[in-house]
Amino acid sequence: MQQLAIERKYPEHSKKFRKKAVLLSVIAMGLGQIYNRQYAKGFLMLAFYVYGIYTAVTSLPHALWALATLGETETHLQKVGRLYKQVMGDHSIFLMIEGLITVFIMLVMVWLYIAGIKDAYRTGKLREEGVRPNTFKQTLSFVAAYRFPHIVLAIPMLGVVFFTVMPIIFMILVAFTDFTRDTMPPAHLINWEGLQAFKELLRIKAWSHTFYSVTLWTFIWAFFATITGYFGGFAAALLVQSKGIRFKSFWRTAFILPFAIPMFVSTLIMRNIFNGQFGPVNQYLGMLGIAKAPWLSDPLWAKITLIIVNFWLSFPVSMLMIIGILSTIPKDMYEAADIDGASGSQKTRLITFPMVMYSMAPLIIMQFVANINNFNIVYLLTNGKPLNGDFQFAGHTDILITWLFKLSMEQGKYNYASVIGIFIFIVLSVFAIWNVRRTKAFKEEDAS
Amino acid sequence: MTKKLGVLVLCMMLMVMLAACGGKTGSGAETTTNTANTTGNSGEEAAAEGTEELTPEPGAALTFWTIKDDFTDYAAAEFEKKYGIKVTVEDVAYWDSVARLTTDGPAGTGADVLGINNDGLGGAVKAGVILPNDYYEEETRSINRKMAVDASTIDGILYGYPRNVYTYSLYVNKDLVKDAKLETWDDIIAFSKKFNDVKNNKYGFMFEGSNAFYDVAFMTGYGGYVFGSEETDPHDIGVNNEGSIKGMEFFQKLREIMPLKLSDATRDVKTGLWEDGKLAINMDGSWNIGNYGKLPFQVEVLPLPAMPGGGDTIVLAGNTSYYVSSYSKYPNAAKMFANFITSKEMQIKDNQMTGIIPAAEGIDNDPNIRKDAIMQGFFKQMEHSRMMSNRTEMEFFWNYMGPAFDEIWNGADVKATLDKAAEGMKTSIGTK
Repeated sequence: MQQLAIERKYPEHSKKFRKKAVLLSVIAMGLGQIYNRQYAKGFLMLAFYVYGIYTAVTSLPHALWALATLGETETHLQKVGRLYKQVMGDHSIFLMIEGLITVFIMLVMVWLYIAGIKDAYRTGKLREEGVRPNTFKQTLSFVAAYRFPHIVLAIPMLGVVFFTVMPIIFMILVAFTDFTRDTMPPAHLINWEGLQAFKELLRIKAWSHTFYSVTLWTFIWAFFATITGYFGGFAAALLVQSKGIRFKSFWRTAFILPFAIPMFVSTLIMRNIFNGQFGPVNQYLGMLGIAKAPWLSDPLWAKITLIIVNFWLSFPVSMLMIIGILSTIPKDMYEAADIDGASGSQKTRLITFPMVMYSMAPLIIMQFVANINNFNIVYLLTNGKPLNGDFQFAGHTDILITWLFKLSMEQGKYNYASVIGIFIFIVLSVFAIWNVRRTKAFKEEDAS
Repeated sequence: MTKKLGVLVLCMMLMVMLAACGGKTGSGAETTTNTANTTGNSGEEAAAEGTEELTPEPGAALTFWTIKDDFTDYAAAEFEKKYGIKVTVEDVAYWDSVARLTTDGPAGTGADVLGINNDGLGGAVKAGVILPNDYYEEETRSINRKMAVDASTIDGILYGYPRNVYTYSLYVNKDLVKDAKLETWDDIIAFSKKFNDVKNNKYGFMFEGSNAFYDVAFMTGYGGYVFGSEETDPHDIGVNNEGSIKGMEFFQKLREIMPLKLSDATRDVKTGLWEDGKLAINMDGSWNIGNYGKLPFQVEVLPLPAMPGGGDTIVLAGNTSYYVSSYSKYPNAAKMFANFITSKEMQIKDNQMTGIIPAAEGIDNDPNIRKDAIMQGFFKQMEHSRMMSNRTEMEFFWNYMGPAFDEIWNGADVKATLDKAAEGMKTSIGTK
């Protein structure tokens, strides 16, 4: 009722402040605020506006040129008398990064500009309603009192933008160029090639064969690595926690040992342990009269060995987590089950397993995602070997991430590596988002 | 309402930070153009001053990437004593240095002088991160072996200052071999058959066959090669010619005396057996001269014997040279240091301190050169060696032939496997 009265009181001013404030803000950021008599804020914004225009005029054309052309003058050697001189030209990669940064800053400024117009509109509307706009002092104290978390959050946000989003966009851009060892800057300029790298990777038979085979193995590997590690840990946890087991903490400590040794070290040791001729595993098998297994030299065996070693290294973590969850299951549930005459396996299946799964499901999915990207173990244990003559720069046990590493670091095929990087990025984000939105543990939290 | 104002103030704070960032990038761009100009000027000045004397830039200080050893520290100290230019030695492996320079160089934290193996040179030149050896070209050409100079040259331009050459040969444990005759491959096979005790892991002969660098040795005796014209012509591929096929058939025969999968005969395993005195003949590289000279048994080096019924076995060799970074702020001082550390006297000193095979020519009989049986054996092997290609096409050799050697060792059909690998190499090189 009160509000209606105010509106009726100032009908002739209706929309006047709003329009003018917005119009002025469109002309220059801050003018609208000055018109709204928020002088300090307005002048501050105007100063930023001038600075922003200045930067836009001085660096935006260069940035756009850099992004569009990736450089025009080549670096070359020039002989001056007896000495060679390197005449530096454009460095495509730096041009791309600098261009990206400038464009990012410009986007933020445009966003601020729009926010400024909105603010002018809102304040104008308040004035029409007869409310006095905040003074600068009031604004500051309001910010200090109520907007403090936002200010603190702004710093990591900046980090996310410049250290996470920027590199990802950079990687995505590289996939559309011809950036390989043969066009390495500064001696060469990089060119935009559109979807060329995607086409080559997916259409040329030798490459697509490698890509599909490696992708398939990556998923198989991630599946088995996760399942074995998880259920191995589950079993160990149930055994350690079951009634009548003495020295529980001793068993827990013993089982956690594989995890306590740095993975880097244990993987390299495992590599020697599983050596087909000299490794202790085969030596013992030989003593027992069992034929030696080609642990690392046969494609199928090498894959199995990978999964075994990963199981050994990863089950302790699952075990610890599951022990933690087991202790939260109310005892009276089991007591009630006992009264009803449930057997041990029934209790495990109907009480323990669902209770554990409820908490563990998101973690299992994250472990699966981590295993898709489990670079260390594959690179250190088999390094992708045994070699495969049908693959392009990959061996039988290479997963996508190790293949990507080999393509970029060893073969200098940065554009192909970026295409694979984009693929991995998409797969992982799908899993991560699905994980957060679908699993029960997260849903529950959202509801509360 | 005030909520929104707060957001606005927050935005402004963001902008302050962003503006700071933006300012920095702008000024960064300016300074790079400035330095480009100044280095340009100094270069012209140096040229204008005449070509008689190369003078170091005032205030020069050098960063030096190499595999750090006693010799590199010694040479850096000597250089500082002589010219008063500080040299900081950083431990960067020869095979990592080019990749690091492409990122560190533009950032201004790269080396001025760096070591590169000749198989990395093609990539470095293509990327334009190193400067040619111009001022000291004649001196370098005159003191070093032709093969080392050629290995440091791409398309007729000499880039490197050769430090050493390396190859592989047969290290022999004299205590185990005693006076068994080892003049031909048949001798080695006969000896190994007698000596091998697979159950107790004792072997007569072993080599790291999963590394294609060594496997080439078994092709050359009958006329095989990787690239034509002494490994310089990547359009002429010889990995599947008649000689290579015959050589690989012999290679398969070696399984008799080395009953292992190639991937199991790893470097760690082989070195372990060798140092424990369980391996009599170890085909290994000259970079181990220093280590293997100190073992508790008597070690001798024999060149690889000729192939049965064929010609001399030519092994692949490599070269390590120092190069001047094109990002160097003190190119003159860097050139002086690269030349200083690879002078004839320094190479001899290097030989004494670390046991490298000098790249310098005609010093095999120098009284200051190490005289032990290992060193002399390698000097002999060097005469039967050929530099591996320093062109980037060499990557396709590793890529296609690695699996091929493995398959052949496991009993695949030699001709079909080699043809397939050669086909792969040709397509990859041809489509470039």
